[in-house]
Amino acid sequence: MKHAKWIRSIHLLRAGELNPEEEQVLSNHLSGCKDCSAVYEKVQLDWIKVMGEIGTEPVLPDSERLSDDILSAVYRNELQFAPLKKTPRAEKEPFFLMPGFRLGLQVASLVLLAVFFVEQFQVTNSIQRLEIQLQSQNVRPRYARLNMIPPAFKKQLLVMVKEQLEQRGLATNRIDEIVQSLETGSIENETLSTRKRDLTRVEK
Amino acid sequence: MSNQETITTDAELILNCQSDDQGAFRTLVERYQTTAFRFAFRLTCDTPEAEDLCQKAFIKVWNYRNRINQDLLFSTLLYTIVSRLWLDHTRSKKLRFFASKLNVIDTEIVDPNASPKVQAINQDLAQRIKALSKKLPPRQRLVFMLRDLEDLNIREVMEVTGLSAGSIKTNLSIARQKIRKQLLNITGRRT
Repeated sequence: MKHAKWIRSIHLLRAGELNPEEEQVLSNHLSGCKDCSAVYEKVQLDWIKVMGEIGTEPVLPDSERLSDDILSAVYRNELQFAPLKKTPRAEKEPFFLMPGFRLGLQVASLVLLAVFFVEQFQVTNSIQRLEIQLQSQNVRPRYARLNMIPPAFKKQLLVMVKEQLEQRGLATNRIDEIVQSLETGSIENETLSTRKRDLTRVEK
Repeated sequence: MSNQETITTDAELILNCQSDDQGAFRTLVERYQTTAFRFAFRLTCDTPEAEDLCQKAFIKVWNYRNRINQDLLFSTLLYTIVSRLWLDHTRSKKLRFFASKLNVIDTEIVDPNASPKVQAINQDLAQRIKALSKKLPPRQRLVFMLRDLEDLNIREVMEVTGLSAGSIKTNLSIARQKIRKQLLNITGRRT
């Protein structure tokens, strides 16, 4: 057991971890102790064998090629991870100058125009039909429908009706009454007999 | 005078690298690639893998050149990078799977560029290292390689591995015992 300390020191010496003083102390002990010097020789021999096995240095196959490989790998890697240069972007134009917006605006205005003209045509057509009805059949128009006519056309229509009634020789006060009732729409409340009377007067 | 001009210290080369001097980096690579390869080979026991580790290590050196402390020895820095790369490499589950199941890394991969003589020397050495250190876990193996084969002192091993002096000594002692035991087994089988 008393050799355990020295055996530990022998291993430390082999590992180069003893200071010169400790080395000297161990050396003195080894010169007088056969057991410890046998251990020392065995440790040294083992170590020589270990180094004989694995202590030789590996051979670098081609140092020039390796350095070229390393450098090219380094620069390739640098290029790969280099930050991309940002391309300057043109200033953003306002939305009303964008081609999509302009095209949409054109289409919308065309649709609105088309709707407007169709409506105009329908109104004019209905007025014309009413006029034809008044002229050919000499029948009072359905006054309720007159209320649906826009005011500008209604006014024109009333003038035309007034002219027609004057041509047919209806009394002025009656014409005014009819025109007024057409304007206010109260003629619907008139009785059928009143309408017939008017018609017979026109006939005469 | 001309010698003084041409011989530049590692610190100066690192300083030049920090100002993107590629020539200085090339000098650094040429100066230390053998050291890096030798250490990487002892860890991996394979020439192409060792060369790959060297490449990765120098890529890291270049990428982090601005953070290198010039007071630190460049060799110590290189040992640190190579050992960390190797530890990452061994931790990789995929590679461990292939190494254990197919066992191709042990014998099959040879460097096609190397001459037959170099191949033979390296393969022989790789087999002997593997035979002796196959029972060592990565940490013990790393400490053993650094201390006994690369001849680094304890302080340098501490810097490279990040382990304490006590831990290094313990790991080293266990590694040496295992290697001696393994050596006895091998020599016993031979005789």
